[in-house]
Amino acid sequence: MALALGNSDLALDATDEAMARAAERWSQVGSYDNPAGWVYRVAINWARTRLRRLTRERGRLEFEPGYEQAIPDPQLIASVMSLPINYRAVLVARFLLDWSVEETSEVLQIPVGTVKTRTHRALKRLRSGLEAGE
Amino acid sequence: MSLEQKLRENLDAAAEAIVVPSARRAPQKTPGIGWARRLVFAAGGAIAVLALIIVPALLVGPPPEDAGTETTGQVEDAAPDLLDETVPETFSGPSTTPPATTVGPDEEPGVIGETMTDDHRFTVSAEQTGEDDMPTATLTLNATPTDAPDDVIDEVMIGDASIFFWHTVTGPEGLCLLSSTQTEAGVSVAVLVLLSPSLGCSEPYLYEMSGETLTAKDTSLPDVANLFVEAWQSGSVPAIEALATPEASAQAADLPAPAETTFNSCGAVAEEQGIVECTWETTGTTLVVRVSGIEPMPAVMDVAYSPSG
Repeated sequence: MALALGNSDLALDATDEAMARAAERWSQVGSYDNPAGWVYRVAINWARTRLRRLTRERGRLEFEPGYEQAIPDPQLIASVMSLPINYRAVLVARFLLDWSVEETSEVLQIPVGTVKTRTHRALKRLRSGLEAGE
Repeated sequence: MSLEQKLRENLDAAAEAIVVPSARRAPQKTPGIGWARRLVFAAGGAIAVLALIIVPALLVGPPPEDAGTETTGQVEDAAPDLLDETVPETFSGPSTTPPATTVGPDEEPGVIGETMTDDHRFTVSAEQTGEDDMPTATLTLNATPTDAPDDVIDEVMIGDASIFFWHTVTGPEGLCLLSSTQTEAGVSVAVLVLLSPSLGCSEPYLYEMSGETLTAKDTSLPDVANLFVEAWQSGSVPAIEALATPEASAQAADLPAPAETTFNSCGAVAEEQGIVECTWETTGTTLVVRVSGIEPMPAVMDVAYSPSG
């Protein structure tokens, strides 16, 4: 969630909110095919609404000291963080959570074609960003 | 190693390296979660956490081998994207439809707002879900013929089930904006729902009525500009704040709202930056609205009047 939102504090609050909602109606949410996907979507949507209000006071993503050594390519992560939230949400769903295109489409409630488009464009941006940095 | 593989590897590593905020700060109250929900959360949170961690692993399994190649497939078939700079030819300016009217429970049970075009009436109805001290609501958008309000043509759930608060959406200004716009393709309906007085309005939910079918559609940057102008004209400050940055909201507050507008066009002004500029003619001046699709999400970033011509 923090990677998708680019903000550790907001990710914590969004996850709190989404988990609370899931727990409140677990009898219903638990019967879904992908309860984790429901939580992911609710958290992303909640945070997106909140992000708009926090433009001036927006936090940032914080890593453990020495993270540069732990992450093979910090520049790639920096490039991911420069993408719009809609792109990051798709990339995290596809490449961190390993959800398929169809599952990502269902979770984020966007058409399959949009998942493909956003993935394609995000990767294109990452590629050009990395090439420019070389 | 392909970019997709690199991404997987680096996202995994980055996720491990993120500082967990709760480990370095005192707990703080999360807006929107009352004490009762906290109690529920304490009991049920563990289950949900386990679900979040375990379920994807159980359901999804290893990534598909062709995951990396899906990105290039059928891009042309994709639905309009938030950052798609292509402005649809059928896009029209703000509807001349009057703002949504709030209908009280005594008038029509469950209906919290309506908007009409020449041929269709669209209502938003709320159904209470849950009986606790913070009951939730599921909202439905219903389409009927204007002259036959009992003959439902189609209906669609707004957002998810039970994601809104019953007392909020059924209270005053529970709908921040409800509008319908006639386009060449059909009718476009937009809904912004009040999440809570402190959180403000939801993101826009957009639907298209084509034939006898209501379908959800993505919100494009011109859509955001159009809704912003509608919200401004109807005087809905919460809707304006939901659609614009604080700076643009302040600009709108300092300027007179446009009385009559005729839509001119929308076009990308800085393609790489994902910014679209839309203009309207209004009583001797041109209204210019710029929408950014970059950070933190699509929002009106600038609004101004300039002399026509």
